[in-house]
Amino acid sequence: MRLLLVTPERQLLDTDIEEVYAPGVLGQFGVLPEHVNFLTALGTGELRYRTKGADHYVAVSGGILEVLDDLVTVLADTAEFAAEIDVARARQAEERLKHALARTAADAPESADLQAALVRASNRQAVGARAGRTGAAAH
Amino acid sequence: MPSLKAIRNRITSVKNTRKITRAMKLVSTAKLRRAQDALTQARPYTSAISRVVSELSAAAGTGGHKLFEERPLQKAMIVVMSSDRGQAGAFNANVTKAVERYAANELSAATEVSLRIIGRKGNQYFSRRRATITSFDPAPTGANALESAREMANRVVDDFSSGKVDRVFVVYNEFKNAASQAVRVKQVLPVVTEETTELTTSKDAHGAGAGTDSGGGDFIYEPDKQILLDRLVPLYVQILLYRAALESITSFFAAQMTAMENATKNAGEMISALTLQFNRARQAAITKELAEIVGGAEALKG
Repeated sequence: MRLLLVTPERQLLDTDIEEVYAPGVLGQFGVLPEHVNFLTALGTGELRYRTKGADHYVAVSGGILEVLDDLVTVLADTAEFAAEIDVARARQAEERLKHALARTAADAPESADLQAALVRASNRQAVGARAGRTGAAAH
Repeated sequence: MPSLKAIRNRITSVKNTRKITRAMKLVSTAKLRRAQDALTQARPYTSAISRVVSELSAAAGTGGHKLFEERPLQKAMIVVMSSDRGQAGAFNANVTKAVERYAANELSAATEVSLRIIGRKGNQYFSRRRATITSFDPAPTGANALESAREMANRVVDDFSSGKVDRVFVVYNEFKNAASQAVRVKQVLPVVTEETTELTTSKDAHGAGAGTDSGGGDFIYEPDKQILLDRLVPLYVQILLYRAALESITSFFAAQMTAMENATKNAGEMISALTLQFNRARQAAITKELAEIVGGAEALKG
């Protein structure tokens, strides 16, 4: 099974994998070889793939995942390998957004954007924290 | 014949100009490399999304989304990708000419052609000619190209859905290689996927059976086709404009590099021509002085 992971700015992966777990809008799901053809929207979360017996983590947000025959294509709005994430800075960004959100009224038009940004920031922080434990992708 | 001093001044001036054009060439070469990188990096995504959109639109049919809707052509809009700066040869002229040609020929049936312009040079050209300009934005750099493409996509999608325009095109320079760029006109809305046309032709060639495995019904859609289309189709429009912007940025630096290389070469030729002229003038002055001295000495003898 092949995994192609791309964002508008770059291609992160085009590699053989054993399995992949991704954050769908309807919840986390997994894809194993021989999966039925499948197209779904992605939310914000952690994408995990296993290659040569080792797990790797990627922070993704938004986009589409397609399984067609034995090719899994992930078109993410943003994606970063766990190892690429500066956890300290990600945590700072998360704190900043929390403060900004606390200052804005819940019904303000920018509130929804801030909330979405906060979800992404928390996700980056959480996925980034994985890097220490699991030697992330070989890139 | 100009004086020695005048020629010397000109040589200095041309030498200074050559220093500038040479520096600009180096700068655009470096920027070209970065822009070309961004373009290569974006390619897998753009080709993957066109494939997915065309599969999905084939499964959903052309009535599947409001941005596929084909309307009689009355009001057309062209997104013009030019640059903020010149010194890039015919880069901007090629785009503006192509826009005018397209509006006059292919869009002659339209009652109105409005422009959304990216880049100051295009704006200067068309405002002087009093074209209908709906919006003007400065040219994006590699860093904000995605953001500005997103914004532009939202605007044209609004224009199209509200019925303000029936067709949207984008005109931009496509990067072939460092030495050549070609102007391209692409339809943005209603969305036509490149692969749809290929798909139908291959279906025609192999009979009805060929299309079923890719566009077939054994696909699971989550949450459902409609929601996926609502997400994918506007995204596709964004990416189309993003790709065009990247092509345009890359082409700009390539065109600038070529233009500056030519300018540097021409300056060099001019310098040697002027140096030749200078040496001749100097020689002439020396000969003249010698003749005067000899003439004076002859006169004293006599």
